Amino acid sequence: MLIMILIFLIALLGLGLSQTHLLSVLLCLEMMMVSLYLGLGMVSISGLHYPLMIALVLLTFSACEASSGLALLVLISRSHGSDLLKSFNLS
Amino acid sequence: MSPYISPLFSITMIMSVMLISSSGHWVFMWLGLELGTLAFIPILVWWHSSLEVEATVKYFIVQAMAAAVFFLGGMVSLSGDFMGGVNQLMGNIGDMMIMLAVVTKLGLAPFHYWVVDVVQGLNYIPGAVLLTWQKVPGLAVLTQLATCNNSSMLLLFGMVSALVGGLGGLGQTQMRKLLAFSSISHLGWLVVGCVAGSLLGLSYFTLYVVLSIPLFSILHMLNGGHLNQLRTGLMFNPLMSVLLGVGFLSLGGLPPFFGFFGKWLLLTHFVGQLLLGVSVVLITGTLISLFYYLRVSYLCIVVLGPQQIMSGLNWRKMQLSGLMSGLLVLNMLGLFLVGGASCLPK
Amino acid sequence: MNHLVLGYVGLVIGVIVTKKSMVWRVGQVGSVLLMLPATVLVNMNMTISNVSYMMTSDFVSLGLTVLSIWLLPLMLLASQQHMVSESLIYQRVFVGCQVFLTGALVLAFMASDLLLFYIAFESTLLPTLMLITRWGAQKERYQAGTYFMFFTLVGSLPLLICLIGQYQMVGSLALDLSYEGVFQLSYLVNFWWVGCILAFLVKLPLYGVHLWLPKAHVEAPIAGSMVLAGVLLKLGGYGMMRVSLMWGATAMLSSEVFLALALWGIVVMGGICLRQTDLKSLIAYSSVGHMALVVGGVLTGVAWGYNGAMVLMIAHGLVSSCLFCLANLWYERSSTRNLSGSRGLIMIFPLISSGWFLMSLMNMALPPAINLFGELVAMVALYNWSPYSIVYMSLGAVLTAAYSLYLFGMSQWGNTMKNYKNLYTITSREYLLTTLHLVPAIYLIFYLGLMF
Repeated sequence: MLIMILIFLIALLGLGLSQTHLLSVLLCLEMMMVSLYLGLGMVSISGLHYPLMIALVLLTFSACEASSGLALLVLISRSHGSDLLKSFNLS
Repeated sequence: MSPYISPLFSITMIMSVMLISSSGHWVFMWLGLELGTLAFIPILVWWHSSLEVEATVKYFIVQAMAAAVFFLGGMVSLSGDFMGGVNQLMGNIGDMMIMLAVVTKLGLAPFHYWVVDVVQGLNYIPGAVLLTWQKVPGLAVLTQLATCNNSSMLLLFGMVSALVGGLGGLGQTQMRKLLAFSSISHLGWLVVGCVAGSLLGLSYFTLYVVLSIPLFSILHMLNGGHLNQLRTGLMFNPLMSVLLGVGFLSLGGLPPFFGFFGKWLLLTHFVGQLLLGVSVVLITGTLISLFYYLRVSYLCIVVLGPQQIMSGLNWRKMQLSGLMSGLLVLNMLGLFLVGGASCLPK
Repeated sequence: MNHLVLGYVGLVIGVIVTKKSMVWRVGQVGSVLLMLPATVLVNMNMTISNVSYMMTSDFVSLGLTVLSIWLLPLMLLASQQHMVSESLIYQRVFVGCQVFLTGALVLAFMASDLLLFYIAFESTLLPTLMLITRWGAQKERYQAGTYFMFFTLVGSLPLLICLIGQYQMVGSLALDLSYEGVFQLSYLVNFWWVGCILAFLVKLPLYGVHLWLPKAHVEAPIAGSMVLAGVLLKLGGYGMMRVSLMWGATAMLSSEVFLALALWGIVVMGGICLRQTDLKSLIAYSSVGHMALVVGGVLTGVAWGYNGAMVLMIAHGLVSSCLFCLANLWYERSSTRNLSGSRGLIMIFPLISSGWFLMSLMNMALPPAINLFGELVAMVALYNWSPYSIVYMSLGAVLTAAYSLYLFGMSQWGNTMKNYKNLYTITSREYLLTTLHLVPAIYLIFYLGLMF
């Protein structure tokens, strides 16, 4: 459980600190989701079974989220020419 | 994008709110929040302009991160159920994380930076949806959380965001940023209202929607981003311009208008529950924000700009639709309330 | 008296929808007609009595209500000249603003509930703001408008919280009850009391929070100045009287600070007036000095103080409004308010100079004037509070006489500047305007019962 929280926090830190590519941000988001999935598995090991159902829901939605993230990645590379975070204007 | 697909997204957004408000478990709340976000993203990038895409990316990243933190918080409190002695502590930490995630999703004050950037990049109509309807899922979660022992934290966030909403808008010349800061300030009132009683928060939220939707739609028709574009309004469309100015003052809560009555209602309950310090801070924030509302309404009501034809075109072709004029008149309803109440026979 | 407020609402609508040539006539005839219901007020029993639901009238509100009703046609009369060049829609809005303002004032003076009073008090802000910022002369008017708004709003927010708190604790905000025994006399009550009167002290204004007033007066058009000096300042005095009547002995706890500021204000404002070079700002500062005596009279908390303050407010409402009219009369012709640029008016406009003369004398409280009566009564109350205050009051009276003479002498005597060639004569409208201020001011000496 602690390992999973650690992975989550590392991913969160990576999300906060990544300053070059949008893709790496999306990867960090995915890592957070996967760590949550891992955590659900660990909780369900200790005897409770309904977290497994939740894990299915989580998987579905994280896939959905990842796909819309990738769609946004495509959009941004089409409109800005790259996925560099530097090309955003922080207005 | 095909216009026929938009009902799908809007119905999903409505469904997400229903899902949240009818659920008692955090997984379904998370589900509802995710549904709302995912359904809203295609609406945000409807026109594919580069500013919009950028704003949508910012919105997506913040929302996805907050959703992950929400899930983590839920899982921490879930795992607390099996851990015997530390149960209560873990539960509290989980609740706190959930609350922080929801506060980030809403854009309450210490986590408000994304709101301004995102709204600045969007058109007025998606911006209005973002600032009004997209608050509902988060607030629906908050009303269920506010009964817990972390309500003092929420009070603090509410106070800070009333102040930040006031201070942040002071130097702005961009219309959308101004509206974003005003929504942050109103959100502060709203959250404190939710803590004092969920019905209060609901009624204040309704009031905010009623007051701000006509403003958003007028500005949408005006299609201008800068405050200076309001200057020609009095020349070309005096009625609309005056209604806009009065609408802003009403949003700011100047007494004879409708916005004041919502604040009065909330204040009555805050003082009744002895939240004196909170109400003083909230009022101070509102007072500061009234400064920029007053500046906007100077532009709408009193300044006579140079009479260039080009700049007035958008004003001139504006039509007053029935619904909107009704809403605008509602902004001034406060006057009629006072007048009518004083004219009742003994 | 609900019909009175309804009448003003109807008059606003009438001014907005009437045909082009009738805007000013509808405004004036309507505002004169609306004086008729006020005659009912004058004939009433002066002990407190509910007139209708949510509306009340007693000796405190009566005089001020009549004053605000009286000033509306005069405001319209005064501002006809400089509104001729405006387009029709602005003329409608201008007249509508003034009528709305007067309606709100009447509502404020006759409200029987403190929160209704608060709302009416605040709803006078927007029309006054529009008068100042839309029809003012220089570009500093925006700053003046912002000052005006924010001084008033900052002052009145504690009032709102205190009123809501009182409602939560006592369960009522009705004016005709006494809440003396309800609150324990602890140091907290001091804060409560200060919160309640702060809005009114800013509105009056007390010395120290008066900075918005000269700005607003200098920038405002004539109608704005008239209503500001004539009635809006009195809203503060009225509110303070109401609150202190309700609170009774509690009111006396922390009043010493404000009394000291008021006494000091009388002297300082006299000094400041003597240094002014602008006609309007001189009159504005003089009204701050007079209002300081009103603060003194009310805060002593004795009947003589209330009565004196009441008489003083009504007298000052007529006198300062007329002085602003006279200043504006000169300003419209010469486009200057500078004192050194407007000397020797008696050679140009001899008859109107008698108006200047009478009004200056009333401003300095020469014997037959009601100003003297009010000042004497208020001074007696203040002397009763502390004998040392006589030093400040006599000094203040001397300075008042000095600057009134200075105002009259600088503007009327001396050599006229050579560059004023084609000043058009004073019209009968302006004579009427001055007369309508003078007549009640003189007549009230014989009818002090209106204010007692």
